[in-house]
Amino acid sequence: MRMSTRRAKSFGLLAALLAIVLLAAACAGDDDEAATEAPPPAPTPPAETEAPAPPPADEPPAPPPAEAPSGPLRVAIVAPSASNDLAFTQSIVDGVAALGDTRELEVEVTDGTFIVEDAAVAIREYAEAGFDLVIAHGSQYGGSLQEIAQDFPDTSFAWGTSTDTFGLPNVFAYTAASDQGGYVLGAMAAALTDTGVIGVVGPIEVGDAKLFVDGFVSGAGAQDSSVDVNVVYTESFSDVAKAAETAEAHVSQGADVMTGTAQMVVGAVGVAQREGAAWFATQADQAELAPEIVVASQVYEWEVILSEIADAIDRGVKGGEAFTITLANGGLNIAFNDAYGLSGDIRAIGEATVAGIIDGSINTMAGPTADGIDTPLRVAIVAPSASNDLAFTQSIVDGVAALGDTRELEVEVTDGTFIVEDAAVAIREYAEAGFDLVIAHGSQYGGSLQEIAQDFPDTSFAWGTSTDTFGLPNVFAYTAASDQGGYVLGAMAAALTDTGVIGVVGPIEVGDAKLFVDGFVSGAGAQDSSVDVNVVYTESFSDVAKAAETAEAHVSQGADVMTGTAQMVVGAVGVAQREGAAWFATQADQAELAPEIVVASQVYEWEVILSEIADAIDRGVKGGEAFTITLANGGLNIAFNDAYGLSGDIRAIGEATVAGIIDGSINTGS
Amino acid sequence: MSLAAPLLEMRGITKQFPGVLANDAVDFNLETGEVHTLLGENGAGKSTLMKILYGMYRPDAGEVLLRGERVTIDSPSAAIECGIGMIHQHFMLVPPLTVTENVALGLQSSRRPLTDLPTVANRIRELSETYGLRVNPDTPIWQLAVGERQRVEILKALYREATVLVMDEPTAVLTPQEVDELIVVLRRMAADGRGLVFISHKLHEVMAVSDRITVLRDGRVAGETTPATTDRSELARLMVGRPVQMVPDRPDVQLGEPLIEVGDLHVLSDRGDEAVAGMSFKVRAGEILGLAGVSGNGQSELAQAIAGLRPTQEGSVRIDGRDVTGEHPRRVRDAGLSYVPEERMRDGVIGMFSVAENLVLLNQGTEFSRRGFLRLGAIREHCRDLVERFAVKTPNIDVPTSNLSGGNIQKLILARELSAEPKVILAAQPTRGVDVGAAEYIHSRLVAQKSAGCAVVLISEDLDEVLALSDRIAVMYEGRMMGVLDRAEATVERLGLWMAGVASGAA
Amino acid sequence: MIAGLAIVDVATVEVFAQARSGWSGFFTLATLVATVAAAIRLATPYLIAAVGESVGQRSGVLNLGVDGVMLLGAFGAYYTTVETGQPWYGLLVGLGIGMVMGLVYAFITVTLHAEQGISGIGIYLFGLGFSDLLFRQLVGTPRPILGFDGIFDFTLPEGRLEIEYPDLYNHSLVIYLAFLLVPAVTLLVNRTTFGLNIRAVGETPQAADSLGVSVARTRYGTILIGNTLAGAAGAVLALEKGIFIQNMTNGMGFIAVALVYFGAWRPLGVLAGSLLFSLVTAAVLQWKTLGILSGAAAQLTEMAPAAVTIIALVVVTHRIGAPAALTRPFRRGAEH
Repeated sequence: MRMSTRRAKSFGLLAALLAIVLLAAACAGDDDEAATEAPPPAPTPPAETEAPAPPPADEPPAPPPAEAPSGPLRVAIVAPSASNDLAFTQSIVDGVAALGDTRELEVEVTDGTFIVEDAAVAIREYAEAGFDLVIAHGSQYGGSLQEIAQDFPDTSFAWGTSTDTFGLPNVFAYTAASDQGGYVLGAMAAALTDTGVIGVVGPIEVGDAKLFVDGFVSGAGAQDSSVDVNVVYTESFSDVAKAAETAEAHVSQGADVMTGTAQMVVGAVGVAQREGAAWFATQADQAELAPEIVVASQVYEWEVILSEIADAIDRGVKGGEAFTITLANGGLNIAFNDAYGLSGDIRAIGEATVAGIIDGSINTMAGPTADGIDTPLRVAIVAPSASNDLAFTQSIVDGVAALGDTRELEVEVTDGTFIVEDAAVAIREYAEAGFDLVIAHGSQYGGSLQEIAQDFPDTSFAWGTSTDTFGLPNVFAYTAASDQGGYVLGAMAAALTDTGVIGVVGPIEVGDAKLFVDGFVSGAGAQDSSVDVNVVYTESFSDVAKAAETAEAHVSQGADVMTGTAQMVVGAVGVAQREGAAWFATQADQAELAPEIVVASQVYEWEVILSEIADAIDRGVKGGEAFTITLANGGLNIAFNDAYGLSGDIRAIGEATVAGIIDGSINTGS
Repeated sequence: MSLAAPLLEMRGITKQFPGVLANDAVDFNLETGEVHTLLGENGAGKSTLMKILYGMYRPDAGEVLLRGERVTIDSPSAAIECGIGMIHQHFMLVPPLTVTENVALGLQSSRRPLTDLPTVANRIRELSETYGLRVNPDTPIWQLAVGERQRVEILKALYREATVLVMDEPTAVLTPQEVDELIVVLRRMAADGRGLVFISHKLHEVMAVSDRITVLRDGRVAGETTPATTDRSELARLMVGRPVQMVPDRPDVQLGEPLIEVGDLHVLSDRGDEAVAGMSFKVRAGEILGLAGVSGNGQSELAQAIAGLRPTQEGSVRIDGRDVTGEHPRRVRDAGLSYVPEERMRDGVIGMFSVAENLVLLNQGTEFSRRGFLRLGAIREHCRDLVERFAVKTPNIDVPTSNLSGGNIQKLILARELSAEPKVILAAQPTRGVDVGAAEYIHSRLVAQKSAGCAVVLISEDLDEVLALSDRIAVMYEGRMMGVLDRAEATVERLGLWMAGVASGAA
Repeated sequence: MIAGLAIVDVATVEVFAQARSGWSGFFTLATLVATVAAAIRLATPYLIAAVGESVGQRSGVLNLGVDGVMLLGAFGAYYTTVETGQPWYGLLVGLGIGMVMGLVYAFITVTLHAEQGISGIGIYLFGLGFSDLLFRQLVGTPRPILGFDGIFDFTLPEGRLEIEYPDLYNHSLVIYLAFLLVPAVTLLVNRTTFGLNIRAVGETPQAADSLGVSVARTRYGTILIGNTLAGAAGAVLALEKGIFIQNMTNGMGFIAVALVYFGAWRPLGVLAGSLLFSLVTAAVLQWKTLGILSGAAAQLTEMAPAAVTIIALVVVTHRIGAPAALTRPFRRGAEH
């Protein structure tokens, strides 16, 4: 077996160039209109555009003849830190080396590619160079890998730590059930501590690190619920100084046992060593770092699953499977440090816990769920217009606020991001900051969200209004059946008009707006087929002047009742007000905008589905489901404006229509 | 009179630019009623001195006195208020505006804030009458000929009642007859109680118009004299600092075969009208044909068409017997033509390129490159040799060409073009804006090429130059050949009439 | 305010009912009048902004930041009117904001000699972002305001023939003022000494400078005029529509810059361009209302105003060139 290592170097320049290009693109700006019509051009979602991906169904049962079995298996590794980091990167390099003991391998390693773009270049180069298996060892590489893998359907890729193969036939996913080892170490730590205080130094609350820490906390709690486990995430993978200071803080709070994960943790180990605190390690055996304090390490033995992957490749299977190393399959090991004088009792606790997890009698996540309910759900909203726009954006902000009445929430809002690139930055920042749920409230954000969501597999995202989760396990989709309210309002409008002409002011014929308008037209026609409904799309979400002139045109054609949707509609409301035309509103209750003309509003109550999403997150489901608010589930409401003197008859028509839609006797699509 | 302070006195004017001392303690004075010529090569400091006078530059040291009073002139409007007028070499006129509007620009109006153009137009008519400066006040500038534009410039100064009038190379664009008319106007203006500063490097005009002559060299006053007490070669010596051969020897050379034949050539201008309307001529080996004419009569288009830089409508161009009509410039060169273009900064060199790079622009496809890579060593050797042989004054061959003076750039182009060992040399305005020393050198190189058996086409507005170098002289007017004369028959008067479009019997 | 509704009496309803199908519906006097009236209203902000910009361009200064200044002016006018209830104050604030932005732009491009294209885009991005930020911080809910609507309506004496179609002339006073800008600016440019300076500076700044005309002062003046009018255009947009939302100009400022070229730098030409552009926009809206256009065809015709303008632009600019010094900073002594 040959092994060569090369460092990422000139890729930095490439990354800088990319940043400049993106910045230029961001500066170029984009209004809502353009954004909705076409997704942002540069980072197109690969699944739709990159042609060469073969459909996963026709996976060839046998590999092309005369290929793999003859020579050595050529394996390339791309990993973020140094090959000898005694942690994450070393674990995979050691794993491949161990695999080399059992079969002939040719291995190349590019380490230190903590910049994702550099890694992408390396992955692509290896694939071009004809390697049989290219291992992208870092959850942050997912987005790039997904694109590259589709360009090289004959190359196998492995991506860790992740459980997602993107549904591609040539991508393996692998991960570690590091909560298991965490649970074992936590139980031992709780037994070991004299002061009853344990310190945990984590990086960012995502992925492997979060899993380990959660398992650790859970194990400690199960062993001795009186022990305090102080968890601190430093929000960095590389800030050694901060890790050291975190350890100091733990010690000052009385911790005599500590653990931690990720590269920067070496700073904390140094502090523990000086203070004589016991240390539990993970990812690799760190006993040699500080023999006198390391009690035990959870060691990743990737060779277990690497050999499965190699076997699969031999069989001609290039991907599509996900693997997890666990205590049970031997991919996770608890390595006790003999140099540390551990009492037999505590070692016995550790070994008993391992056995319990393997035989299934211990559930590693049992403990912390009780803990989890105490901490508030952290929700972030990114939305295109102002939070109090009395329309689309306000509906989601109000919905989240309403959800806050029933459960503890921590909410942050970025509004006014009508430029898609700005929204993408905000979404990414929230994901990085560890929010549990990031809501991208705008159909125009879809393209950006799809990319970002893949980079943060442990964060839940919600995207509306849409029914598409991109097939991603961490994206919820939500939408409104606004055709239902539209139908109700249309029926009432047809009953209300004297001239027999109704005007509709729409933005662009897509999504929620189209749904509402179609429902409205349909409802009006059902009520009175002699009524004319003139529909005009202004082709813009922001052009107030055009919306106003559209309303004027409607009036000039005799309309005395109007409706409209999207932000620019305020221009039309002004015209309706001046001309004394009745107005039907949607998205939010617009009665206060123009009390004397607004007859009724279709109101979105997103809290109905937001609570379903929050419940799913509690259950550990991070996405993959789509929700719709309807009249039936109470997410849509018709709010009548009492200040408008609506006749009882017409109100009765509205209420009857609502009832008919709910009981299914009315079909809004008609 | 002699006791009174002079009209204008500039004392100890010093102006330093980065790297250049443009004026070094220059003293200059001007009396009422006199035409005082400021003579000097390009870069001698004439323009700087006059721009200081006109408030466009501030002097580092020195003072300006008007009728004995010290004045501070820190902007053109201050200069105008002091009664100083200036006629720039590049006319300061706004092409889309009418003559009246150009004259009224910057003036106080009697009907503020509205303009009062009829009043201005009336005064213009009076002034034109008085000084014989015929021009229609309502015509937009772009419709005027060059000579008329100059009249507008003079009218602007007269309108502002300038008592000191500076004229920067006013004759450069005029026919000999127009020059004579201008001299009459200048004398009349001086006689009316003004002082005129006349800037020129054409020595015979200087001798004809001046009362006094001050020569500047390298920013200093090299001498002051009067036409009565000096002659042209003395003036040239003062300008250059060494004796100058005013008229190059014209060796008799045995004429050979025609090397360039142009037949009934028609060429369009950028605006789409016919700039060259049927030119025909031949030049034989060992012969120099001078093409005289006021600029803008199709000379530029003719040169570009011959060099392959502009499409031809009709007619033919043969170089050394080969028909190169409408061919790519590269092929025209291959046939044996070297071209010294009129717009040297635009067509002759690439300003940002180094001297060396410009010298090998033509050759980079051949001996100075191998497999697409430049052979830098060979290039440097070749360039050092050329720079030395053609006396190009440059600190080294790596400075950007735009840093060189006009004369040195022209020498550089000549070096490049002549090193190609051409059969035909087409030189358009080769000495325009070039100092006397460099011009002398360029003339000698052209004569040397003729002796070596080249055919030379010399396009020039400078009648002196054409007369000094050519074996035969033709005049272009409105795209046509007015006629051709042997050198021996040619006189300034005859050529001047042709230049003005007046046909005469002899041809 | 009920005036509009009064049109919709029983008789007219019948006219609508039989007339409103397809092209025959469009070619009724009532619809054509409505279309022209809409075009006049739509044209106003373009006209104000473009006439202002034409002054700047005549002096050789291109300002691509018009849209941003319009947005700031629109927000300032809207917010002032929300707070004070006085649309005239709003208009004044819009003018003031335009003036301040003009000073900034003049300082950048004239005093600092910055590249005009990039500086203008900078101004645009600033206006876009800052107007949105202020709106969200200070207002948020786009509540309608009364604006000029109904206050300065202009009515002809009773008994005139045109009384049947009041939409044609029944505009607020600011719209009339906007159209008065055309002769006013024409007079300024062609008949005043300042106008002579503007034209000279835009063509041959060296010549103007050599005659003692301050290029910088002239350009400061024209930039101030242009930006003040841009601010006014935004203010009129917000006050006419009685509303503000983020990016409400939707690129009007850029169209205005194009209209200056279209109008060959003459106010009358700019007026023609603004009306043509707006007339096509209004007609397309009517066609959609009448169902003449739907689906993809309707979306395609959204480009019609721009397409017509570009075609006309190509035809026009073949004849008349731009000011020779447009976009060129001036430095004394660096003329050649």
